[in-house]
Amino acid sequence: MNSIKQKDSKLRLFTQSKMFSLLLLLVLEVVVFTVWAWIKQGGNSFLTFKSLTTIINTMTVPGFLALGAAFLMISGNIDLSSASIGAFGAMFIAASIQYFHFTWWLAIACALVIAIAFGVLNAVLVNEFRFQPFIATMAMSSVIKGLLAFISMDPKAAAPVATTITLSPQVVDFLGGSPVKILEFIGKKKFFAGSAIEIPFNIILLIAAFIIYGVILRQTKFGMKVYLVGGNPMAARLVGVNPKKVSYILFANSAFAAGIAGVITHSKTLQGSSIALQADTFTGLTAAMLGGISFGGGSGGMGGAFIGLLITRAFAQGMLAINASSYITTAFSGVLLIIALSIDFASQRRATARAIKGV
Amino acid sequence: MAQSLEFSGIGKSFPGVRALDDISFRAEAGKVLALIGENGAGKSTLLKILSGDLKPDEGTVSIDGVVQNYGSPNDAINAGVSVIYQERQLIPSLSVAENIFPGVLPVKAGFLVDKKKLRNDTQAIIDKFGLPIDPMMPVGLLSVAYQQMVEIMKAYRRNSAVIAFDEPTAPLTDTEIEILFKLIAELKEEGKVILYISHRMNEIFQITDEIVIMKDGKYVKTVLTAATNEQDIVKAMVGRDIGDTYANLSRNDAFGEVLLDVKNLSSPYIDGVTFQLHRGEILGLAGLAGAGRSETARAIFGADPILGGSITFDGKEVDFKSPKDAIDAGIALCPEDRKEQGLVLFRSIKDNVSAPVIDKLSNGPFRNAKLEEEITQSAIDKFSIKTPSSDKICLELSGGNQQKVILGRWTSPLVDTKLLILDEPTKGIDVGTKQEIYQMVCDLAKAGYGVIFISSELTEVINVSDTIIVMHNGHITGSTTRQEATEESVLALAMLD
Repeated sequence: MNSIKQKDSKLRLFTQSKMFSLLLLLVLEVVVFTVWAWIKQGGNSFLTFKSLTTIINTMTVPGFLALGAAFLMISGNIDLSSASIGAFGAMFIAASIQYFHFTWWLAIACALVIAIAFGVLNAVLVNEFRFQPFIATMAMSSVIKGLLAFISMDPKAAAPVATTITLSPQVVDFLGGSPVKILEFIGKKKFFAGSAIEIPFNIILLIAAFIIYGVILRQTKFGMKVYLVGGNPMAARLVGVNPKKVSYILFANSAFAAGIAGVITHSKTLQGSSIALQADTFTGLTAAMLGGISFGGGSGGMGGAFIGLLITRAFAQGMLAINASSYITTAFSGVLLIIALSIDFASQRRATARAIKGV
Repeated sequence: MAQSLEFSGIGKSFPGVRALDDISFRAEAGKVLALIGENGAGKSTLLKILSGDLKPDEGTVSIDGVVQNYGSPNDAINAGVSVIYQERQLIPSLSVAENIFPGVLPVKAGFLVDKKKLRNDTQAIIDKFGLPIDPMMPVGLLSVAYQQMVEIMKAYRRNSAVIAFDEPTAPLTDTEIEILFKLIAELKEEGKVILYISHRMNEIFQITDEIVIMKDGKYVKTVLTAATNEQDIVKAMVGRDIGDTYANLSRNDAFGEVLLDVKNLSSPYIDGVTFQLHRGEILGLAGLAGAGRSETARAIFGADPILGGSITFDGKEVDFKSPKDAIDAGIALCPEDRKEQGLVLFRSIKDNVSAPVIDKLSNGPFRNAKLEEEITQSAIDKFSIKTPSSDKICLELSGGNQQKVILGRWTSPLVDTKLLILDEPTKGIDVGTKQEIYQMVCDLAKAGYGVIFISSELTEVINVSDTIIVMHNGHITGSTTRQEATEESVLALAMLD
């Protein structure tokens, strides 16, 4: 009798949890789009393996952006430059291989180091110059976009007009190998190709990364410090945590994750483009926030962020399924961000109300 | 003008808590009625119902026998109710006049603000209370006390029949309190219904006519102020006789060697501070707000830069660059503001207790959940923290329990604290829990901790501490012992120039 009661309360606890409302939101979204698409197309065009495959295929890049954003937001910070950093990474790989014959690992390593350097610069602006994080990173984003346009120009071309660098399939690195092969593996390799659900290599990377980061957050000392700093930086400092150090690490990490997103962007297209990832400026942010990571910091986790990511991806796919115009899709993405912010706001208020009641 | 305010059968529940239960009493015009009770007794909730912030589940509020059914704070204001909270609700950049006449500024030529009339009308109110305030001065430039006067004048201008004060004297100095009391007397003369909430007994006896005592959301009784005494009230509030709070403390009287030796310490906020603290000793830092007590603590703790002087701790001269250095050496600071600086409110008790020792609980990068649970449980037992589990988030704990979490954090077996700095450890905590915390502090001294006890409550600081140092304006102005100290002598030192 007692054990049944306990199970019952566990179930109730789960139904009251944030995770449950997130899953509910996801299911609701799928139902709405399925019905809508059904009515519009006269048949099931959303709840299919094809949609699922597309979602999985397009998830990795925003996924890595969300990963960095989530970690940073839990510590009470924000990075609006990550999409630009990713685009810069993609461009750097293209330029370094095409023009300077870097081998694949050197190109990727350099791109990631540059990304991290941008992240550290963000941290310097926020910690040493005391800028508001969103102002600092917005400015940084502008700087990076400018640099991006600059390096995308072909130095050998008579008129520097190109804004896209495409790898030629025959390009040979300085060791005599072909960098394209490896990049194609990262970007395009699919396991179970041709079956109902194809598993791209890079989604495995993403899921592994989410698991690793989830473990870091929940199980390690560093993860606990992230929560402490995000929850109350002053109190964290007075118990001996160094909030500055945490901030530097997380800005660098956000940029690193953006760099990985850049590597994958490049690998998928074998291009560097000055407008790559522009649509993804707020994707990571939206996913993290939908996933229950508070704007103010101190709460949320990677599981929520992953579901948040699924919600944003299912949304994009759903808009395709109902044949919405891209303008409408953009408008509704904004609405999605507003919904995410409202959920955050409402849950903050609930928590405060609960606290008042508790006194 | 209203003759009475009446609460009848007020009930209010929040999920899991019965905040108010069948509260009925009456307040007459021309009298000051005190509303007292421990934290959690329901005073604030009742005030929120009066001000229209909350709606009662049952019961009614009536003014002059007319049942009020207001749906918003604005309705309450229109019904003649003004509540003056501790946090003032003024706009700092606007003038006194604009704050007193919000939304009802006198107008000329259809839309221009009639500055002259505004000034004169405001001056008239200021003169009525005999205050030295310029009507055109931005409110932000006034002292906290005068800001509160502006708040009161705003209520007066609205012609409110009912004026409620929520702990109005908390941020005020003694002189300012006198001015406030004069104002309250003035309002009483005018025949207002006045509710006065305060934790300070002497004030209640000074200005109120009747006292309503609440406990655990229930009405206990109403007594005439003239016909009661402090002990009876406290007894009714806590439901038990707590006797002489300080005489019953079991103290430590065997001090060890010198633990902390501060010589000529200067920071941007303090100058030439010198004192010694022994193991097992409780050293009180007394003084008025801004005297430099917390700043002394922060300088010792490595939280503020040190400009001169030396600190010898546990036999070694130290130079802490950050709080982390101080913590590693064995100093713990329980800061003045629990919510802003002490706790990470949205994290669990466990996280908050284990925060300073996370690096010690395990080797390698991973946390040690078992040890975390152990030290948290031992803190919960040691300080009798009231919670169903160590996973409860600190936001949901009462002030007293939050303070105990902080004490528990710094006395867990792994932190190796030798010196505890307690900055206003009983602020906002009810009488019963205060006494519990005094005994805990004494027990810590017995266990060999050196304790620096900072408090703005004179009675408390001179009765809990073994030695009392008085500060004023960043300097030490004198020191005394518990046996010799009187409130008058310490206050005189605190105000010494």
